[in-house]
Amino acid sequence: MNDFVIHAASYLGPEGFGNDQTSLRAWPSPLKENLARGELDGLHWSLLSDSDPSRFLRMDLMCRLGFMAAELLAVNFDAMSDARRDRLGVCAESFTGSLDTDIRFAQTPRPSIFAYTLPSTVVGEICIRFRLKGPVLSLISPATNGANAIAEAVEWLRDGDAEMALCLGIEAMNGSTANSVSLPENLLSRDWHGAALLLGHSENSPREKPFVSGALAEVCRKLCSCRNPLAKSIR
Amino acid sequence: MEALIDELKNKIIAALSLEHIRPADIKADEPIFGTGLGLDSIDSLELVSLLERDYGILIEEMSVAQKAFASVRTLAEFVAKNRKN
Repeated sequence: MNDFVIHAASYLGPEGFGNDQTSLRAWPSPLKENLARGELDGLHWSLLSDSDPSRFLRMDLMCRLGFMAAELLAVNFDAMSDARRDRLGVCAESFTGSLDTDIRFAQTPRPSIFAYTLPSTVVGEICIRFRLKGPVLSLISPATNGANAIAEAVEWLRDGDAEMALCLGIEAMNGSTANSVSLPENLLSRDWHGAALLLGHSENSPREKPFVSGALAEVCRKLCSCRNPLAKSIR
Repeated sequence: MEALIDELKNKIIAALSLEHIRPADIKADEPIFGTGLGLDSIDSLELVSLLERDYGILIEEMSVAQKAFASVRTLAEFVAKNRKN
């Protein structure tokens, strides 16, 4: 891990949202109270961006969290060269994966929901948005040992398969979905979240402003306080 | 026919999660796939499902759907001619 650096980090969860430069900001009320209860329908693209929300509005919860985490990085992927984007990989890790969407599809079978009944769709959506063409992987990790997504990304960097890697940790289970079926206790997540890390070599950072370690410390504390698999890797 | 066009606009917005679009933003004679609303193949499946669910119209060939889905007006004409509900 010492060979590579974290260029940017972001997090959104019940406590708030932010990145390594902004620290965590609280959600506005009454959304804040709903999110704390695990009711995530109010998460909206307009909270983060003024850009076209059309793609976001079609997404399921897992994709929305991954999309928002990537947006929160505040990295200008559009300004990257095609060559750089061609070698930027994306690896997502989750415990419940697309289970929220799977349940919703079973309850209301619709083509638009079916497209999201895969935990890898979030990787595809991010690659499409930012035109990334490096290696991609989506992991389901019951053990949540925290290292899998980052370990895979580090292997890509070490093997030269990628120059940079976007690692995502996502837990997406809407409270109303969970309550509509009888799920085992270990699948009930009140610690919903989306987190992203951008890894790469120390030179050629995509950020204009240097990495702000103080703000990242607060972000990392929040990551480490929940079951986010990425958090344990940082610690 | 205009009432059916308005009805279809609202149904399209609801079925395809186009919350950021108002019915007045959808022009009856403009393409709804590709340009215009920028819908994709998954959206076409949703529209096929909508026609069956709300109007009792079963589409068995995509060539039929392609003609019907050219615009909201062609869709309304197709529904008016073939609806069972």
